[in-house]
Amino acid sequence: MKLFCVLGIESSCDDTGAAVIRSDGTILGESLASQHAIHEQFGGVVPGLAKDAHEENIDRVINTALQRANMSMEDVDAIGVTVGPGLEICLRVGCNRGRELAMKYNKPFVGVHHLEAHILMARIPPVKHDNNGGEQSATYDEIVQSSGDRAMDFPFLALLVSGGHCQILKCLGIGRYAIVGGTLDDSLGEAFDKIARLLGLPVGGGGGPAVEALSLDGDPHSVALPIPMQRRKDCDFSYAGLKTSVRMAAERMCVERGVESPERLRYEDKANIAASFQHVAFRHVEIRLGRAMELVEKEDGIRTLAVVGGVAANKELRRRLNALCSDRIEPWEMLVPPPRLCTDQGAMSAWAAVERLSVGSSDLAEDQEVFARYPFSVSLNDAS
Amino acid sequence: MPLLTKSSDRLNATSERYTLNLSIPTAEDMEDVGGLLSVNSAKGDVILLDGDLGAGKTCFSRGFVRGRTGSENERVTSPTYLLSNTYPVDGGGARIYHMDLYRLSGSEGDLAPLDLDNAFADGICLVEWPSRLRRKPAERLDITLTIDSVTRSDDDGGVDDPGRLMQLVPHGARWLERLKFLESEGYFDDLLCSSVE
Repeated sequence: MKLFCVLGIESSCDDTGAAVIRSDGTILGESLASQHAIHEQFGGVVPGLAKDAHEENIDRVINTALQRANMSMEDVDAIGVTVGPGLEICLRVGCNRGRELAMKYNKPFVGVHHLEAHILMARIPPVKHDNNGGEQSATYDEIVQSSGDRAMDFPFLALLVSGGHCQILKCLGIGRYAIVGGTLDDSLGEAFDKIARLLGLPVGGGGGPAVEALSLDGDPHSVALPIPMQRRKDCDFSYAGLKTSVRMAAERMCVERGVESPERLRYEDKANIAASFQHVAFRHVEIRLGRAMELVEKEDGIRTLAVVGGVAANKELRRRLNALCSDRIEPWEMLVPPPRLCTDQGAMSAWAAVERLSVGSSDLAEDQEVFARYPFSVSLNDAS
Repeated sequence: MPLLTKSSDRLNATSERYTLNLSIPTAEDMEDVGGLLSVNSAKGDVILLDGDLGAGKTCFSRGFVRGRTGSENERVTSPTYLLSNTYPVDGGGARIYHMDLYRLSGSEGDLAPLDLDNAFADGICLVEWPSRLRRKPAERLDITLTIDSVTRSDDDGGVDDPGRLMQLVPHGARWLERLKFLESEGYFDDLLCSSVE
């Protein structure tokens, strides 16, 4: 297949990102304007989150990505833009700019589904990711050979865990996904963030990494916490109850220690709470995911798992899911994209557009709308 | 509707403002109250939901959204990260906006992505963490949720979730009338807190 290059734009929530990616999976150039660096001083608040921030950043981010790829708009073969789900006003900033560029330069256009983009990152061919400007060259033959190769083939099972999402999906093909389970309340990433807040941890690098780091110093069995939804034998998640259990356990500990609030607990106590929470939060994942694996293995013969979304960066989660896969009678293969490709950024939209274009699917730029709600697929129950 | 604490009195008339205080024993009851308040809700209705982590704001919202959309199994998940989740109602004629302002600083530019003026005027709004709002709509219902430390189970190591206390304060005639109606019709009878003895 002939190689082509796609400019991808992502602005669905906090961050504004752009990237140029070649159809063999090589990221040629990328740029991300993120508010994360300034979180800490505001205690987790996102001060720059605004339509204005996206508007200020969008052109600079696109131009930087192009520059790093050493390309101009004329050289790009297509444009992919996240069109939902997300915040309408933020989505519109990226979508409008993508549409303008596609129409001005007469390029094919792909309106990208944000969750599909997360999942498809698991298929991006490995190795050649870091190529920001620096010419890390594969020979032409290697490129031709590798083009069309994907890190994993359909069908596969995907666990999507991030701040905003918490789902298990059966992935059958481009644009063909069935939801096997999802959260009834909070997402896994959000639960981590809220526990970080409860314990008064520095959340500059995100609540998740703060709890993960603290957990290393704690005993995961020191604080008794109930595993959520023990009686429900399906693949859904719930983290709201666990969050409350952690808060109550922390408050009991405050009484014992004679301190006013969980933030004032000793480091050891906080570490024990964090480790116990993380253990139970992941135990919940193992149970629900294990059940989903059982199901799709039997029904569809699927034996590969993609773990995507920001929480996939958690090392303990990766370790445990790896064990979950390898301990099966017939071991599963597990694939996790590099952590930086798990969070929201432009390469997601670019790669999703490559995948769509590779199966001959694109959209009309002039008609493209954005969708705050963007139903992904039917749930298995509804489908059957 | 669930049964709970013996209820005697009803309103605390502090500074002439009509206020309802409810005691909500379980998450199901919280959803029921949400569903009750969703009945006949219309464009321009705004409910501001205050309360700590885990106080039941999203739980209330789940009942409200399910009640108003009529889809019992609608997934109503936390809007903390996504900031705003929307649910179409009346065949797409209106929308419920379920928002969480926690992650925002409250500055004008920060709130801009939510397009609040439009949402307040044209949608049915449930707003978590409303202290970030610079201006509150004149017509609105303020709900404050707190975790009821009194009803907490005392068997040690028990992980029973304690009940919640809910205070409802209407602003404007529309909410005042609706709350008075619901109360007079007995919808809250099982949940009303006894006032201070």
